[in-house]
Amino acid sequence: MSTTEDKTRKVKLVTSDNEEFEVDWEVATRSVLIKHMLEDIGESEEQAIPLPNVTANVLKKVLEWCEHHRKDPEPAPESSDDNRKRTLEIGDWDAKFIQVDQEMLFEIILAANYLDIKALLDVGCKTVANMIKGKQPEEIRKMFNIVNDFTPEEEAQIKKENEWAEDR
Amino acid sequence: MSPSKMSNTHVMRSKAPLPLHKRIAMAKLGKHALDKTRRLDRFENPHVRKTIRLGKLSKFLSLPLDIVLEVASFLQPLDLLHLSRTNTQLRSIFMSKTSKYVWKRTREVMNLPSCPEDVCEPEYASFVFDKDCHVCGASNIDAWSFSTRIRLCKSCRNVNFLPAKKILEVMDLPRSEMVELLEDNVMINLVCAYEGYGFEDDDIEDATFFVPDVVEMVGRYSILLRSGSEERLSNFLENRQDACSSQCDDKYLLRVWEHNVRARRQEKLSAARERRRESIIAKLHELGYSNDDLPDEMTISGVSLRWADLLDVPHDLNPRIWKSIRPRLEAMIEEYRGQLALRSLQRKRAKRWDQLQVLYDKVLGLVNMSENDVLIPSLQDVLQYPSFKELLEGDDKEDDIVKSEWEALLPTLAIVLLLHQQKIIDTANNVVSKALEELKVVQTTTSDAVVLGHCARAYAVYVIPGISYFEDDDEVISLREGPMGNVLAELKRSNYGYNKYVGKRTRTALKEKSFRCSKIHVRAAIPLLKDMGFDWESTSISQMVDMGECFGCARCPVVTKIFTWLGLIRHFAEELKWKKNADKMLSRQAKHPIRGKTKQPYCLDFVIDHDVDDKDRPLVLMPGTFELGHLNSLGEKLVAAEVADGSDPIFRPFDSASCEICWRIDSDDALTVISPFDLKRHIRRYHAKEPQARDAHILKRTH
Repeated sequence: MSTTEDKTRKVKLVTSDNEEFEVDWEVATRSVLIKHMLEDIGESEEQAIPLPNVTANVLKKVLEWCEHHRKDPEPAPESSDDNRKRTLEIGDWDAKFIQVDQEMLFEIILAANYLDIKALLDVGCKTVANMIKGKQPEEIRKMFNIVNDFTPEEEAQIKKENEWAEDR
Repeated sequence: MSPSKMSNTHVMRSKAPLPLHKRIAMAKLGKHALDKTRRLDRFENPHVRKTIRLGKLSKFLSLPLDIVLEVASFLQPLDLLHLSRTNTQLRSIFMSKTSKYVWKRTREVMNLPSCPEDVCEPEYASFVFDKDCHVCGASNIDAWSFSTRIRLCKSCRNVNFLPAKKILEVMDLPRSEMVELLEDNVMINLVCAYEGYGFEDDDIEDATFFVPDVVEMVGRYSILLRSGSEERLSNFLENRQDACSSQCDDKYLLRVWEHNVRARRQEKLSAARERRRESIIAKLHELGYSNDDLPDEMTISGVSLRWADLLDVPHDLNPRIWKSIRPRLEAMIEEYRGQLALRSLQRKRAKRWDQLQVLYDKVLGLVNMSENDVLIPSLQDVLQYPSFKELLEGDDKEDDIVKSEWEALLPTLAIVLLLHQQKIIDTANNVVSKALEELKVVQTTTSDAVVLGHCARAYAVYVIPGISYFEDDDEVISLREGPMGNVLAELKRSNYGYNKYVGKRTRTALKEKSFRCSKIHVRAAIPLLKDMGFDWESTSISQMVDMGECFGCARCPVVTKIFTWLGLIRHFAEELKWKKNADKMLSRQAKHPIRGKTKQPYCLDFVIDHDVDDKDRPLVLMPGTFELGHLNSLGEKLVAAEVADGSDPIFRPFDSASCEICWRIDSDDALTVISPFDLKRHIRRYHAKEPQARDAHILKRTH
């Protein structure tokens, strides 16, 4: 539970390209990883938290999201994750926020995964899922820019063989 | 393997059918199944929407596996199937048991019933969401059978789902086993039947089964039966019964799920339609339109239907859509306003029309006349005259006809009646005169009869154009094809149409083109009159009609009918039409062959024995000189030829046939269905040849 003192505290974050960000404690702790680190290092305000897997431009974007969602309720505990309704709906602000190029989209997803920001990870994954949804295999190949490595016979066969690979 | 595990495997094996791909391998391709070439073409030229951007997600496969799976868990089972079919890398990810939780999550999001124990998650997804035939690969197959765990197109279904009895007969089982399987309903508990419409699960007679399943399960049953191990047999039957029962339960749950999904989709669509309708109407209100301005959707008219088409779309209104539909909506509102104004005007006019009709009928009644009399104009005819037209028109006038205005026009009405009569007679004379001119008939006299006009002459036959009829009823035909009086009476009876001015059906005005002279009848009538020794120019129609049924056709091989004058003209006209049509079709056939080389005409002789220009032979049998059955020289020849035929059937036996010679030129007569006797007579008479077997175009064989 955060206290009034926590809310006024500032947290320093250092990115992989050595850029330092000073953010509110409430914003930084949207990340479960940072929250745990802060708990580990205690009251030391001066100590910057290194984020070796996140670059400055990605962190800037992630912090923009955290800032907007700073008042959101605490994420649900891990155990209830599987039971939550996995719809593809994204809020209006989030939808606008995630309108970025492919490069940045995947960077945000990776950063959200690393920083353990479940809600942001969901926004990223939903965005990608929305792009894949309803597409035929050939359309997916075109989007992923991959070639069809099945022969016509194999392709006909895989439509009939839907057992687990381990059971075949 | 531990004994307990071994026993479980044994139970599962006896419960489960063969794996799907093995069952499919045993199935047959349907007669009209998707062929290999088309499947290959689909593989080589897959359909890709133009909106798909190349490489839009090219970095997706470089993401860590857990994120790939996280993304996948937001998809639907069908998307996972599609992902698993893109390439070997993705197939190995999604067809591995490690991704089972992803399949499970996607299924749960859709509230799909739990995966049955005899199928795995991807198989389950494929059964429910794939649309391809499992055997031939044909797409868009909606009919799936979850109780038999297979999806087949209609063609493959017809050869792979058969009644139990038929399958068992092919399997060549001992009689006792067949009886046991069928009569004791063992089959129903061994193999699940196809869930066809109206089929009761325990009705073996109606049920059809997937052939490879029956072969497999009955085979296992037969082996156990012959092994003599009662315990193993009873275990097997018990297990199969459980399996069939749970397969049927699964089917039921899925059907309920499917029903609910459809209902929810319908609800969503209806809600979207309602939202769009409300948004559009709200926006129109903002623009200042009231509800009364909007087209009434309860009225089935062009604008109302188009209006409903724009509103009843299950897509929410957005600025782009509004921008696109607003001009169309406003145009429709304007059109609807115009329609409303016109309807109100039409109601006013219709009221005045009805009043005028009453006044007109009253005036005619005073002189014992009626609008139905052939030479009396209808109200619409009267309204063609400007002074009367003014009475009805003038939308700014009071609603009611002013009686004094009508009475002021009565002297004019008397003139109008006379003018109308004269107009009809002039038109009737003109059309005959024109026909005679076209037929190049030279008039030799200027007798009083001719001066009085053609319309009363025996050769003047009129028809109402634009009416086609198939009745072979002389009375019906005579109404539309005959003397002026008959044709005008029929016109009075049938000449109704929608009157836009008053917005209701009324009599239409008589026009010059409302009736015309039939040239072919005139062409037949003049030689007939000459042949009978009458002065064709002066003989009146009433004189000939009064003679009644007394004429015979001298050109028919056998007299089978006694004609009236009009009947005789029509008879010759029909024969002339036949020849004209045959000549037309022959010349067309010569220019543009109709049915290809093998169906070219082999006989070009189309003989007309009713040629009215042939003056060497008589045309008419005069009253009192003949009887029914009278034979002319052609008739005698035909009878002699028929006697010579003896019992030679000539044609192969048939119930109905047509003349092949006529058929090949697409003649109107080609559709005539005739008996062998009539066909022989037709060929000898109209094609001047001895009948041959090939002359019969057989339509229905004798069985």
